[in-house]
Amino acid sequence: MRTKNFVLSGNGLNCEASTAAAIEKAGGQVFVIHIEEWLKKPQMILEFQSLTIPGGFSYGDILGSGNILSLKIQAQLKESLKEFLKRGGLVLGICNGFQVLIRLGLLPDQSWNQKFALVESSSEKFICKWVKIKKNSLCPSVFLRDLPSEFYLPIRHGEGRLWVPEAQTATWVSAKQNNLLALEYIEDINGSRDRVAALSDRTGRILGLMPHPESFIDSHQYFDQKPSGRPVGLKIFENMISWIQKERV
Amino acid sequence: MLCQLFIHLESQIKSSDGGAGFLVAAPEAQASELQRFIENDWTSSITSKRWIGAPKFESHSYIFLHPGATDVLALGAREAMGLAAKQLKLPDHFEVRSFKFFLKQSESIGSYFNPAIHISLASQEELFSYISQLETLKKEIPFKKPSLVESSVENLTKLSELRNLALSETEILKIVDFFNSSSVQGMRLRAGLPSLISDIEIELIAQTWSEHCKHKIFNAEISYEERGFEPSFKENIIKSIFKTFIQKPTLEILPNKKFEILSVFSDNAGIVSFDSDLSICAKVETHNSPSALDPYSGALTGVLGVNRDILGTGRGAKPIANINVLGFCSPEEFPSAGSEATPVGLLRPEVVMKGVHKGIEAAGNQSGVPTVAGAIVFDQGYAGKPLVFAGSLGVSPKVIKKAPTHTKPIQSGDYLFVGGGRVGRDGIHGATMSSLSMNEFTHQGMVQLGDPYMQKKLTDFLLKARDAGLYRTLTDNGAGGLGSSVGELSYLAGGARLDLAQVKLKYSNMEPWEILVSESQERMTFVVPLEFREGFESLATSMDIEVQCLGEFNNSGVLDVFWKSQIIAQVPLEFLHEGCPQLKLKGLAHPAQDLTFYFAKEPRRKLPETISARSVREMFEVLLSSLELRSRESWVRSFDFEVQDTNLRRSFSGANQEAPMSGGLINLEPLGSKKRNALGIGLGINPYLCQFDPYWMSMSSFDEALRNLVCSGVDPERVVALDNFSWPDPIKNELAMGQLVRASFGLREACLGFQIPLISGKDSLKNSFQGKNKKGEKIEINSPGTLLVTMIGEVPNVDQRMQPCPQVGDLLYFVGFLSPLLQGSVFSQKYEWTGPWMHQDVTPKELLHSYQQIHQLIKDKCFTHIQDISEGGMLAALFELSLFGSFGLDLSVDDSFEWQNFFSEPLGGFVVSVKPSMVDTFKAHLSKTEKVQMVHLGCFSQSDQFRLEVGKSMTFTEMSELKKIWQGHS
Repeated sequence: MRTKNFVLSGNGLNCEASTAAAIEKAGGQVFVIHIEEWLKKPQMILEFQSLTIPGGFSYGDILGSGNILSLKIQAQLKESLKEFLKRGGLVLGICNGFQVLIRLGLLPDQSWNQKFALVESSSEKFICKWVKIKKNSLCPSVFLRDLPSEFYLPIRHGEGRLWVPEAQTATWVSAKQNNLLALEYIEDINGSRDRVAALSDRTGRILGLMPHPESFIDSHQYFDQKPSGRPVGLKIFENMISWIQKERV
Repeated sequence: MLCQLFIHLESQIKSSDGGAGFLVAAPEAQASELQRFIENDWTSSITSKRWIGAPKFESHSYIFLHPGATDVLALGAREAMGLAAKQLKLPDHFEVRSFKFFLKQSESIGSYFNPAIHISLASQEELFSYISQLETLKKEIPFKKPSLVESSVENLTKLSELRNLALSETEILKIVDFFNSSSVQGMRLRAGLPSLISDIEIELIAQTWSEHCKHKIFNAEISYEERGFEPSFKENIIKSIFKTFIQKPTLEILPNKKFEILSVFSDNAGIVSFDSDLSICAKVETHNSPSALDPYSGALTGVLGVNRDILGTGRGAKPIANINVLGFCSPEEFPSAGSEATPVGLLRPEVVMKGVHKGIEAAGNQSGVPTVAGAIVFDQGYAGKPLVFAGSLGVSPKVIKKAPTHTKPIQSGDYLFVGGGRVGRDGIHGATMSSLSMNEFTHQGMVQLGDPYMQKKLTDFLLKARDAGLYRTLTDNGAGGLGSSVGELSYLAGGARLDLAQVKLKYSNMEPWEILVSESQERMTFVVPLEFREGFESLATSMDIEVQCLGEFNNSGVLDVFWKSQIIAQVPLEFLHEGCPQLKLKGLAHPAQDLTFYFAKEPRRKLPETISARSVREMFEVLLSSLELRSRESWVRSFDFEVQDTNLRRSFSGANQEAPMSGGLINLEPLGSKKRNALGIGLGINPYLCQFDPYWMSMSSFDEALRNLVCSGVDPERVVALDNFSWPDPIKNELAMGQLVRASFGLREACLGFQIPLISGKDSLKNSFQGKNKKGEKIEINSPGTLLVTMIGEVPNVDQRMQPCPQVGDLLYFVGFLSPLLQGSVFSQKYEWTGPWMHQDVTPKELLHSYQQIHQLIKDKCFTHIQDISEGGMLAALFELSLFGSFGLDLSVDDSFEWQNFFSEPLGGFVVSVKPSMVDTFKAHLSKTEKVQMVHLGCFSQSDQFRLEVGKSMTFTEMSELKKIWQGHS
């Protein structure tokens, strides 16, 4: 079965091409769609089985990373996105996309109320580097199946530090207990709470991550000379496609 | 009646001594609803605390941008409020300005506030005055007729001085004669124009004839004298530096190359092709003057501007990689803040560096173009204007909709469109300003501010419109604004009609001439065929881009400028583009000019009395800790070098990602090449050699860029080069002119010798500061003559690129042409080493031959790693080599090895690591190559030890110690 996958683009997002290439390589059919187009036809998302919000600087990240895009989604696309999720659609947010999912309150609990935030790294610097990441093997995410327990992916962000406000301690504890802390940096790279690099929701069908899986879909792209097994980034997209095929979303 | 909301935002995450905010002027009826939206939803309440209320002038400082300047933050805020407007049924037009506020005693103010772009408000009265200025800007002025002057030398000289137009006496004379001629007067009468010349016409000519746009010095006739140089240039009259030293050798070489060179010297960037699918374009620009005034915006607009050059090349190319090469005065050598020697009106080097760094980061990261390679050099001469080279590479399919993409066809009747950001007063006179030296009064309205978000949106639109065939060709709006872009395109077309009243403005209060020459950023000019007008406009709307039709192209031979139906200016295109009179200049070149220091310098160290392994190590440690050699990792990691996911050679690589790698390598397959090839980037710069002999500076820079490429696995015969000169003003300085000729001569000899053509270049020749120091003494600071050579070349098969895979036990060799000469090296700046000036006895032909052999060995996977020897010399290169695998170094040379070879920076030098089993193959292969030396230096060791034997002496230290020194942690 050919799967239909929606990749959001435009207005400052800048990783849509690589993300589309990754999904295609994983066997999915990709439609790269401009934000303005989606805003015009909110229901169009229902024709797809997955939505990926790629990395970049949507609306220049003015007023906070992912803020304006989230406001637009909240104001105009919320109902159709809820319906999409109800029908079993998958949502992947990478870097700026993760920031949007957090700002919307889709992560960690689909409450549509922002609980956590992704804020400026403790070093106050943008960092571009391949980092070692550990998988939470108990995490329910469908995106992470059969991934090695530790692997490298590149990060490139200035605002990827997970911040949990005092008032949301209960949400945090629950997220932890439900194994929603999907990926963890081995070394503290940005001051993120519990070194969190990715979050899942409880259904396992929404994943947000700061590292860029679309940047590692070919062994040429690896940062070191050693040839590695199946590129980890590609595997994440393959999981997405095979899950859709198996579950017939 | 407008109601003002004063919105303050403060971080909830960290304590700080201020915050950001917005001033919003909204219709009173809706202000309360808007206020509710802002208080509830506008920004994340987890990260920011919001409060609306009157400014607290008694305790805080409020810093705004000048009223006319582009306010990127405000544009974004407006977008978010526009969203609220849709929700709350508010009208969509309110004024928004961003600001920053600081506690009055905050130390952050000093590093943030820059009078060139900021205004500080301290009271309610000042705030009112600021707001009234904003309102004045918004007032629609009735069409103001252009000022007219009688075309006389006196009038035009006055106007040129008043407006910083940088027109020379000869040029003014030429303009006067032309406009007073009976044929021109007849034409004007027929067109319905007054016989007097208008400020629009003068402005247009001044921008087009500016040094920045016309390269008058490179096209000048030079009487030249040279003494005591080897090899010498014997001609005394040079008709044009460009034609003699750049164009001629390139045209000679082109027929010999076995790949396509599609466009040189005519378009925005040179265009070549290494395969049957893609054309590649490359361009490097300087942005020294804007970066001197506001380093952040200067660097930001430098990068975005050169990306737009790429976007505007041929039918439009996609920027795929950025490079930057920078020069600063060492912050340690610039006089301290209290010192009387401090120049007045110059920003401190650490402020310049920080701003330039942030600007490059914002531009590339936010617009999604990877920053893949760069270099930094230090010299006191860069205190006046910093050196900011911004470069970019682009790709385009060779053919789209059956038409080649590297040409610029225009048909009479095609529409003239502009698209992108709106026009304001920012950046007026950038082209003419950069054609003047800087002084402490340099006009402040000239700083352009950039918007990477708008640029990314424009890029998305442009590439989509290109692939759909919705426009015929395009160009960017850079220096000179519309005047320059329409001026160029109309010359290609044969004429044009331009209606300035159709241009969308940021604010209405602008005069026609300002609209014509404004350098407001993120705009492109498009040529749209009649039948695609509708499609072009509707695609733009669907992608949230504003486009406006400003007229059409024709074959009238003139550029007619209109305000609605009224003609307000006319300039014949032949005169505009070919009428500029040739300059006549003098150049004098001779060796042994004294070193120039503008500020006190730490004295160079004395050489040790006896040279032993230990003293060599100690000298090496001094070099490693120097500003010139220190690791740039923390600087580079702020640049996104991964985005687009095609970069195969990261600036820092290896097991711990800390080994510096020269150049970048772009995989072309994901970009549409079916050949599985990759594109290497090499950079060469060595301003320290200019004082000895500019010829050898060129030769050395050329050689260094090529060695960068060879190390990536590029075929040295599939390479093209770009030349970028940054020079002190040579017009009144014969020695600077002499150096420029001599450097250009060296460049020509390098091109011919290596058989590498120059496909694009640029010169910035006004890098001088004239002013005073705090004591009141007159000072002049000239940048050193600097040539940057940028090369791009092809790795024909990506699997045959250099993929480092060093192992413990691999043997280390020097390969190339040894030379103990230390002049111009980093070593010679740190140690008192004075020898007579001599150049290395090697020719480009010999060098090229050795590179061909090394290239073959890389293809055959003979080396496990290779690094070219550049700044710091052989030991520095070995150190970098070992970092890749985090190995120790075990080095040993005998007594016959001259110690200078550890630190010299010879042409043609490499260090390589080789598996012991491959040593015979490697030696046998290279021994056939004349003059190439192979010197066994040691091996990689397992331990964390740097061990060095020189004859009978021996020394060692921990590698981790050296690393600490180099990373600045000790």
